[in-house]
Amino acid sequence: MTTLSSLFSSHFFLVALLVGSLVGIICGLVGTVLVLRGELFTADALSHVAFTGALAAFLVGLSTGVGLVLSCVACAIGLQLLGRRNASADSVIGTTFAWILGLGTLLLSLSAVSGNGASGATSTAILFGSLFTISTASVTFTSLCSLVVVVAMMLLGRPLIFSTLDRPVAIAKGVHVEALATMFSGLVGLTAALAVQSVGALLLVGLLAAPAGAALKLTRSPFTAMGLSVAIAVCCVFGGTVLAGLSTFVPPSAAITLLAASTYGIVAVFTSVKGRHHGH
Amino acid sequence: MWSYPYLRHALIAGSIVAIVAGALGWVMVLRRESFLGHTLAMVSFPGAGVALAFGLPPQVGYYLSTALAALVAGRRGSTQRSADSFRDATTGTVQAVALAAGLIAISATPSFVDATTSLLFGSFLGITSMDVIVIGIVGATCLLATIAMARPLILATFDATFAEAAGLPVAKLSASFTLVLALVIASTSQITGALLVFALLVMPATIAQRLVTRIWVSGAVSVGLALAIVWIGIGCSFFVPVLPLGFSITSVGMVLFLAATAVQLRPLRTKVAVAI
Repeated sequence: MTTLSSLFSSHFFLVALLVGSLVGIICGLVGTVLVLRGELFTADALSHVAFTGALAAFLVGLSTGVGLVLSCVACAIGLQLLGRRNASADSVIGTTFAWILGLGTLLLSLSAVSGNGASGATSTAILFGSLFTISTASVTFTSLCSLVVVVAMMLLGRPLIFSTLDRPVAIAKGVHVEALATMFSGLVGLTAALAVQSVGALLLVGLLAAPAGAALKLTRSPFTAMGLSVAIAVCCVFGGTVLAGLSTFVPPSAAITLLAASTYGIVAVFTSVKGRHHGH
Repeated sequence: MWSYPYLRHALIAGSIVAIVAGALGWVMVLRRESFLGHTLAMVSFPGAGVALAFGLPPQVGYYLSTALAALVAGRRGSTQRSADSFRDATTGTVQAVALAAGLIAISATPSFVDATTSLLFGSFLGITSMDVIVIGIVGATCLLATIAMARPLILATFDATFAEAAGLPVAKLSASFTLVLALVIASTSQITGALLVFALLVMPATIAQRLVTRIWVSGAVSVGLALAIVWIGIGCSFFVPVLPLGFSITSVGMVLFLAATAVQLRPLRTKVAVAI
């Protein structure tokens, strides 16, 4: 049985906490804006793009991290450009990523044909994340990229929220709405690429949706919500990582996701009960 | 081709799925619920994993998890925008919870790991005649239910406020449609995988709505396109065995989608040319 003290003195665990917290911070920031803009489906799409991107990188011989960043950023911006001025952007996104995932199945079978068993391990790691097996090189990479996302969100945050909440007025005031949306898509892509390596493609949407949803239920101010969402996400990452470290069979990504989701669930029930109370 | 029993089953099952998904997906795309549809497709397989971990038959997991997800994520409160973004957050969270539970179930029952990719990507091959019967019965029931509520459902989709004023049970209608969608997805995804179900729900409908503006015609076109996509896709994978079915079917869809986009843009360009 692992104890808390032995857990906190082990290298892999501290690395997991560091990388997990970084991912929590950027997911909390980006997630709030994604939820406000109603664009979570893009993140869902990116989680599938990540699968194909990582397999493609594996086949070409690039590192997984580089492949993820390239594919996710390119696709995020591509989906934004494809979907804009479109009555139903969501179906365009759905169509495109269904094909990209189909492409992923082709790559998976191609790498199986080439007789390389490692592709199976790669695909499982991408689908479900691997917070406990992060290399030192990718710690530096994740830290630098996270810094980029945080700084960019600080610079873009105000005009971005403005153009989200009141688009016509923002356009009238001379805010470059389209350019902002494209830059934000790039950030979403970068965030997705970093998060996929730790929480995994399949659970990415949860870390973007749940803390942000809970924060937006708790406060009306979008900026307070961003801060609150970061706090919730980092707490969930810490709690989930410790729980997973202590347990024998619960993977960290699952523990983090379940904590974040229960936070959102409890907050949603609490606010709806309170709202009903005020209504009478 | 017809002499291979597995291929016969694949074509029959594929056609049934195409007709049902072409029609239901058309409503789904009209309602802008692709995210919800994709979430329903994603939650079915972890549901099966959890059921297996508890020693229950996987079918129980498929149906229970999608129905539960439909009830939680498919709720429509008011028509305000703020409610919209919370529905988005709820949908994403529901999907993540299901997948996290599935991941824990997988870790608890290692034999399930190999099944992960096949449950995600699936294929039409290896379908038994029993599968065909199940898909047929569930599909026909759900198709009839959707046709029965199509008119009020579409009115509620285009103008929820007016539909409410006209006395239509808007919330009940959308909940019922989501449940029907969940039932179709649960019965199909366990055989074809989550990817193919979602592809057949979203692709033909998106293409049809680009090509045709008359509402019922575009619904029929969506069903026709779904059939074409499935047949051409199965044909491609049969004659070029390197191509997995998931790739063939989505590629046919993507090519048709790009062609439809080009067709849609052409009149615009001639108009611009005339104006210049």
